[in-house]
Amino acid sequence: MSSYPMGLDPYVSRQCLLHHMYSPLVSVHSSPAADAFLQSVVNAADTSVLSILKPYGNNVQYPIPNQSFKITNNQLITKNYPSFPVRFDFPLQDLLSIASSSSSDHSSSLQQLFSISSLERLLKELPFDANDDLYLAFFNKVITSNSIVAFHTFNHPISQIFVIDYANDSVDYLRARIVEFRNYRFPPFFQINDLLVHAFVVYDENAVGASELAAFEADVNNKLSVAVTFIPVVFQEPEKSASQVEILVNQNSTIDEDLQRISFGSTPDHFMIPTSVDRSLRGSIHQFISQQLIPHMEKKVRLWDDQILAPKRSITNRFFSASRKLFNNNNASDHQADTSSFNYQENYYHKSSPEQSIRKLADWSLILKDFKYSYSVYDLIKKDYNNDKAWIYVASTQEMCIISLLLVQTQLANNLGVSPDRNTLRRIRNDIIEPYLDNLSYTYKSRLNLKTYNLRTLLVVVELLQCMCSTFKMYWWWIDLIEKYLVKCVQEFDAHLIASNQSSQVIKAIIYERLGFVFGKISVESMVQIDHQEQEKPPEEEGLYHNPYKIRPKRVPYIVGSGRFRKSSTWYLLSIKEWLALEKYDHIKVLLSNIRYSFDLELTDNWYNRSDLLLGIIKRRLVDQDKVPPLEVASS
Amino acid sequence: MSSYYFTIIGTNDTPLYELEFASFKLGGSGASQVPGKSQFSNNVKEILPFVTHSSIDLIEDVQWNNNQFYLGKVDSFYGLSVNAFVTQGNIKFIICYDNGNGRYDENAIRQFFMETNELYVKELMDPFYSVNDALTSPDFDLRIKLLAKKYL
Repeated sequence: MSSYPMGLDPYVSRQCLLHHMYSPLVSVHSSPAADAFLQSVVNAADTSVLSILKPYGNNVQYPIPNQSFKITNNQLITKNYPSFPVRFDFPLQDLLSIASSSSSDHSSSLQQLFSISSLERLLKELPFDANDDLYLAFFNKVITSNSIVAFHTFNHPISQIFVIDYANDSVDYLRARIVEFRNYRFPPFFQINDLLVHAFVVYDENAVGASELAAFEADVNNKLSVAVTFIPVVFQEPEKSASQVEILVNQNSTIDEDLQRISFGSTPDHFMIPTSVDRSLRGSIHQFISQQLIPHMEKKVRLWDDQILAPKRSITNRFFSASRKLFNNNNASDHQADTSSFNYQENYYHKSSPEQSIRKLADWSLILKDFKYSYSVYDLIKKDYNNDKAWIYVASTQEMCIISLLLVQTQLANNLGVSPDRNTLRRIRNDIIEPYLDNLSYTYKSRLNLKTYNLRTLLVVVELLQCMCSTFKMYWWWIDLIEKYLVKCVQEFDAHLIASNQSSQVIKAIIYERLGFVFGKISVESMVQIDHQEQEKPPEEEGLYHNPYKIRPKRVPYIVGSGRFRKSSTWYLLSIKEWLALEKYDHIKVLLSNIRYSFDLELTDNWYNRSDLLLGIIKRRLVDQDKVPPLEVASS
Repeated sequence: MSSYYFTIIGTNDTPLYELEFASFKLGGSGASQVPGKSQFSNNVKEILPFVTHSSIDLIEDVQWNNNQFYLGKVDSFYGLSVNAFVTQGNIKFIICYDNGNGRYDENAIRQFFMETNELYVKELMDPFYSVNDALTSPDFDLRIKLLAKKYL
């Protein structure tokens, strides 16, 4: 039972979500000299500082020894976390110009999160092993995005880093870059005052002394009031370098970046870096995150909490808003339009409006893993957005309400195995998840034609619901919702791709496979539970009459109908059908092992082996495939 | 004109009897079609037995919470709805239908199941028939078809 069913553990996808979606975005601007210096160290001409830093943002994969990050929340409770990944990305101006250039054809409408046909193409071309989990790749691509939008601030950079070379760049150069950056015309919803400006200085450890560095740091601090992190690099000749570390480059890459990499063909998916540089990069980035980034975020969150949120929650404000509602009912809509700071033409709140700041407060506290607090803030601000009819903000906040609530519930450290009671679950399901999802689907799809946002929400919620299922072993609360939302996803993907004359085979196959996995997993988990209950039964009394002719149930979970093995197998079969069209025979053989509890593949005279049924067709195709020598397959 | 797939499933999950048919009631577009011939596409036909097989999971879940033999609509899968009935001997009658035009009569399906149950019990009393054997009697087949014509 241990290897059944094979698939991605929902807790891994929850981790991915926190690492790749709800993590701080740090935009990196590097000087040409710094680029050239690191290129010579890594001995690769086509690399840049950003592409070297990017993988190191993920400090789960590239940690330092005894790594820990201290985060203090608003209630002044400090917790230690073993990792706190950040996303290093392009300079802010580049991110914004990409977004504005791609939206030039239809200026005021919002952009899709990703292109469904690109995703399908990427998944088709992705080289994968039969045992690889393509669902993880699919999920990661769906949640990874670096487009900056007004209605959520996860992709608004929290810090801007300037990387300079100590030997070739001066303080004046750095000042010029910062001035240039500050004078850029940022979109009106983006608050530049919240940005932490920081400098990374790379230097050759053998050539520069400690006193020179201290003087440089003091100089930068005095003239520009910018903190500095030094990255010591021991420059070695490539052939002399004793040991090297392999670093994968495709960290947090979007669908388009991956497609580009595949179509270029020659670009490698990893680079080699000397061990000493690797160590100093890990150390410096850890130092930056723990000493600069986290304190900056904590300070801002506390400030917003005091200055914006506390007055809003205060009793006087509540009284005023209530009285406004009661006594000002004539021309209510005109009045609202006057007072609200929402821009209806371009769908944003101005950066200085409290609505935009509170949303940022909630987003940042979610990044700082204070899920409970961020849920309460999302819940509060949602009403304001609703009053202003800022639909895109309402939808996005509803999405975050659901996600933050599920993140609280599935936080293992908080729960200690105590499952929420029935009334709480009923409230979560009937008052929050279902109505909010209906509502936000309507907004995303019908009001704003942003179906990809809707798809991402559905997939994320499904993964978190699976976490709920496996944390508290209470799948019967959620399994129908999970099935409903995944089927909805398939339909949406299908509808989009059929409209553009493509078939959505890979995406469909992956989601069907996921459905099979979900049902298989809950069956196994409920079986364990029932076995456990069985053991607790008292032994039967002797002398009692036993009917020897009574038919005994075959498998344990079936007696109370909690198994879903058959359903799981049917979804797997549908998935295999799609893989069959794509001729991924090795993967099909792996999947066939997941249906072994429902269908005995060794038997040949059973009903499911009939040649007109799906399983019969699959078996026949596999036999034919095995008969054909590989050469003929290639020629045909 | 909606199509139906009716099956009787034994206690060991094996189909004992299968029938595919279409509604005999006059539909909007049925002029050129053979009356009673099911309109399932090939893609659906090859998975119908698997859909009914997977709904056994849900039937086993529902049957313990329900004191009726007729369990109503238990599942919908791939655009098909599934209604079920459990006999006293834990034999399942399952009907799958595409609910394309949105019209289906719950009562008609219940009546169909009731009378099928009577036919099944009569078949069960045949001394040459034992539980979980395939139902191959032409008379039984004919009577089921008549019931289908009468109710669905």
